[in-house]
Amino acid sequence: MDALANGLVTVFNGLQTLLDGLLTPVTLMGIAIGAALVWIALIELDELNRQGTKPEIERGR
Amino acid sequence: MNGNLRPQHSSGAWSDGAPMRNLPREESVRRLGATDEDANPPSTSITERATRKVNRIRQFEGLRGYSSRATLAIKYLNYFLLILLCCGLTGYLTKGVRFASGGGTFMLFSVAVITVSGAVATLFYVNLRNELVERVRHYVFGIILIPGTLLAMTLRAFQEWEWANEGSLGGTLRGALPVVFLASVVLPAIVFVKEIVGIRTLHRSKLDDEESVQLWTRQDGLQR
Repeated sequence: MDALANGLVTVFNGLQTLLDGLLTPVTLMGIAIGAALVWIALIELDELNRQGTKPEIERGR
Repeated sequence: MNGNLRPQHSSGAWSDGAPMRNLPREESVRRLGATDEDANPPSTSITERATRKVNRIRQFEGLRGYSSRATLAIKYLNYFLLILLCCGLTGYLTKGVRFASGGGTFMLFSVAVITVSGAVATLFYVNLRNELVERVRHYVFGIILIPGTLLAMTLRAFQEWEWANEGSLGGTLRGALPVVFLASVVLPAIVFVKEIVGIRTLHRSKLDDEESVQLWTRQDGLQR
């Protein structure tokens, strides 16, 4: 039982260290920039897709 | 009826295979006189939609369609790497420089403010999306990253050169360059946000109705 508890404590300590290392202002700014760039890229991709579709022309009924 | 064209089963394409415009499906099939089955297609899985998308690109755009999309992805990956590179380089170069240490973090912060506010603005100003993307690119690369990195190099060089630490010119430059650096890196973010918030006002005509009509109908006297 002690071995299990010690193992869990080690895993949680590792997670906490990982989070402390990742959740810095610089990392968060990098993530924000990445997310914003992905969104802007999707907008450009949407524009590409729009150019790839056939325009619909209203014809006489 | 729209000519002899019929929707091709539930793929959202014309009978000649060309993709339909982004009309609501019910509206497009109603115009084409389709059946209820066409109007309410069974829900499709992500894999099926992705496959259809890839096939559509291959059918209508060919290899150029793939390459233009791959170029787009690589371009934005390069943007991200360039941002990280410039900020890292600036952070290294301004380390220990008086009044400018931590310049890389300031640069990263400014770029984050501009990209995020630009991305959010595309949600609100849908008709100005392309212009907003251009503005973001201009501010990030044309005003902040490249000039800021060059200024950081100059700052570093001044720090290293002995002659720059002597005389009144050296003293003036030592005092002025960090201010120029911070002004070129931090202020554009504030200016960008201000510009985006007022972008509708910038594009709004200040003319009243009578003046506008006179201008549009060429009765403004300017033609004489």
